[in-house]
Amino acid sequence: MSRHEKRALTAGIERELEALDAALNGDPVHADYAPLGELTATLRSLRARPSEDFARALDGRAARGFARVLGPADTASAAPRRRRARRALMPAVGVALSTVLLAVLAISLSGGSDRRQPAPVPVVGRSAPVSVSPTLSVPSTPARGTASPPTGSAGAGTAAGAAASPSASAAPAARPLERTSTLEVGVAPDTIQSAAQRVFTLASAFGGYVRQSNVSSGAGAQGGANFDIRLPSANLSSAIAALSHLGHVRSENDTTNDVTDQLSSLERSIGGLQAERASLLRQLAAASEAQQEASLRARLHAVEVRISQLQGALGALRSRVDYTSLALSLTPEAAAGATSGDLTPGGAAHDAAQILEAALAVLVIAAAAALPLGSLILAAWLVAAIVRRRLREQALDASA
Amino acid sequence: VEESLTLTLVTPHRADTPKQRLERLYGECRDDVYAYAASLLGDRSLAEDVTALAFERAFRRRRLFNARRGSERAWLFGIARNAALDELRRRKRTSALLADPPAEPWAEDEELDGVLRRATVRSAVASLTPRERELIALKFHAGLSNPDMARVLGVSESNAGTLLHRTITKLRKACDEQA
Repeated sequence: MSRHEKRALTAGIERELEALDAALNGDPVHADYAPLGELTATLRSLRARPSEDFARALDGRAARGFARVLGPADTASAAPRRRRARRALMPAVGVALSTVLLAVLAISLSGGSDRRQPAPVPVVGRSAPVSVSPTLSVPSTPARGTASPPTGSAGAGTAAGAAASPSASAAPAARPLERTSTLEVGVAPDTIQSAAQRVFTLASAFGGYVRQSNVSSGAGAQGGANFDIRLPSANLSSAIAALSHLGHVRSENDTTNDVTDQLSSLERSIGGLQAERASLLRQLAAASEAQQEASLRARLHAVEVRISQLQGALGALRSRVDYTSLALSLTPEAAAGATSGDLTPGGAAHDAAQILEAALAVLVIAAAAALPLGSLILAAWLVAAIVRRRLREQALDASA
Repeated sequence: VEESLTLTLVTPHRADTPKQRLERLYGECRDDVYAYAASLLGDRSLAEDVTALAFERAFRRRRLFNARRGSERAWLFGIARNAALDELRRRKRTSALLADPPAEPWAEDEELDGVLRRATVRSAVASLTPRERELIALKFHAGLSNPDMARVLGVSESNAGTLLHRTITKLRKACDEQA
């Protein structure tokens, strides 16, 4: 008992309680407190004692470490006890499940937004995937025709774009965007050539093609490679993510231009000219004079030339929408390490640091989400404990 | 000058395992737990069940005991109290009518004064409220110290002492009235 609490009791109460303890311990009690000692002895004599049979049985169970033996009373309350045990485990199970769920969610979200991750490549060929680097797997060269480069004609360009980007055709509400991207990747100087080869493979695997390339190898900073790549717009993100694994991304730039108005304007113009051509054809069929016929033919020729020009422009525009131009530069970089293809301790350490960084980020996100959830569960558990305690006390009060 | 050096080898005391501690506690408290449960429940059969259940739970949770939060005795009686109150709740739900524990039979050589005194005190205890009866059971039947009582009841030590004194005073008054 603390000094402060002792002071809270009056001296008389303290003396009586001490006399009571002395009587319970069998010590002599002062004559002033003899009635209290007598009462204590009487109360002590009223104490119930267990039967010999019960004491023997309980001793036996104690010797066996109280292994679960279901007696009649236990059987009656076994199911509620199991339910209570399950209820007690519920918060822990809930926290575990929530953490796992949040971790999965965080991983999937980070995977969706991080273009450095090797994204799944759309299957454009029937062949089995071919391993390009230890951390990257892409399909082999696509089947002929499925991702052929766009030509100058509108029909071919549109067909190729539609084949390579099914998502674009499946989403008519999406506004057509013309995109251009630049990507600069630092690679180890001695792996410029092998990295350049992989660029061709990857471009092809993602349904695109290398329009122009310039690869130069040399000692130190003299080497390097530049590529002008055309990629299906639908596969651009995945392709950039895959190309980023060639080395260390030094810079990346994306430019978009909404060409909805240009497209609709061209289509309207072509429609108008086609209507005019049809009208001219009808007039030509009805013309009886040679001069009138010559005039109509000249106008018809001019209209057809104009239609052809506009269709070319439309095809080129659709081609730029369906296929994005990616300017890729591979620049020599000593610290690029293993990510350019060769497994070196420095590169492995770099990769390991990146993995740890990502894992830490996931943990932070999971903790941020789990903290309020854990607080709620703790609060619920506390409320349940308080309610249970109150119910027990009520049961005691009601037992009068 | 003769110098002598005495070396005393001290064998380090190996602390008991939780199981050993609990076995010792069982030996010390078996009858006390039963007496407390019998007083609280007023039924010998239920008291046996609750006593067994309390020790079973204590054995199962023996690793959760924290000495900084009170003595082992207080911890054990806390478990027994919860088990007994759960039993009271269950009995309330089933609406079973139970009689007070039967009085101990009179001993052949017991004097009449003693018998009357016991009957008076028993009757006076019965006139107390359930909470007051529990205090009597914890102190006189279970033999708990005031700090242990405070721990079991979840009150401060001074509050436990005050409550006990108040109950004893009321009990003595009731005994005088009965006499």
